[in-house]
Amino acid sequence: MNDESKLKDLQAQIDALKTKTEPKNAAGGSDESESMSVGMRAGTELVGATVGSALIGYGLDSWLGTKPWFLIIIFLLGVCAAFLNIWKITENSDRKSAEKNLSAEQKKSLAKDVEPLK
Amino acid sequence: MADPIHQFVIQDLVPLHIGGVDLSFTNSALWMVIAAGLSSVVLTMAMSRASIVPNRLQVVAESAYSFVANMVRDNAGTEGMRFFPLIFTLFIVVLMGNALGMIPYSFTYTSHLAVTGALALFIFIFVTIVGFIRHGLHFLSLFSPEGVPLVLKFFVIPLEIISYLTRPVTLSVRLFANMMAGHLLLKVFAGFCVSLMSVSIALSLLPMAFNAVMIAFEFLIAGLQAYVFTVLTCVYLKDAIELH
Repeated sequence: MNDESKLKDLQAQIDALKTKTEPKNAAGGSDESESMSVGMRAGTELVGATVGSALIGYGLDSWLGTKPWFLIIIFLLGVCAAFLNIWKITENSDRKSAEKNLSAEQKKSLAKDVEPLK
Repeated sequence: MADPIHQFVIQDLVPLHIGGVDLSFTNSALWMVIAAGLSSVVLTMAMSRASIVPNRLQVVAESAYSFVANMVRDNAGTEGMRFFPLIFTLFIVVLMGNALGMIPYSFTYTSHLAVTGALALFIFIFVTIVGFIRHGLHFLSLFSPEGVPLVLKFFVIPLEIISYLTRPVTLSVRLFANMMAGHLLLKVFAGFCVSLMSVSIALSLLPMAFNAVMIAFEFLIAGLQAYVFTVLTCVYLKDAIELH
């Protein structure tokens, strides 16, 4: 084995290790703690966005002297924003769990299907 | 009987007033100093004699590191790793605040809206600045999702702006409310225990058993809230880095 092929071999090993460590999509927090954190977020998102928007509306009103118009409009928008946020959270966690359920074997077979096309 | 709110009262330890501004060293500040000092000392000690086969302290430090590193990589992408030091610090600050609060007679600084609000506002401003530096005015396209018909845009853009502006509110209220509610509940049930003592000792064991469960639950909440706080910071950073 000459030096060059040795170097290539080493490079291949490094690449293999890199692909092993870099993506790691499933890591970081177990399933249970993740779903709990999603639940925590959904609850406060509803309260936070409504209260926050009411505060913004009230602040604008007392600054511009337009009581009660900004409060009403921004509060209603805030309620919509809260539901929009919750929808986004649930959509995200749905996608994540769908990705997790796709087992490693399925991914491999998918990769095989894609390979010949190249 | 003990007042359940008393545990949240800010007390001046070293009064200090400069130019009409109250800069006193309080019990809240004391516990922040303890948190910062303890985490720095433990992490430095753990890594000072680092070896390939780690000792117990080194395992703690390394697993904390890889836990946060995975979290940042998963939620903010590889680009987000540039902000790893900031996010690791945030995680440790919140986690230490929550965990030290579980020691009897200690003070939970994360149970104050002033503290969590300052942290959340700092994150909010920082993320906005990062977004504008990376994308310039193009960052504003964050508020206009792709594939939305023009008519709906008049409705969706204000919604997106409001949900962006209320981020610091949700971020700070979640942490502060969880910590305060938990500690309040513990104290109230401990109070029940004392007042039931005059009726019957056996009956007073009921709230005590509940408290034992609650304390375990509070430890879970302490870790979970630190996790949620940091994950959301990563998610916000991802928005600023990648725009959708």
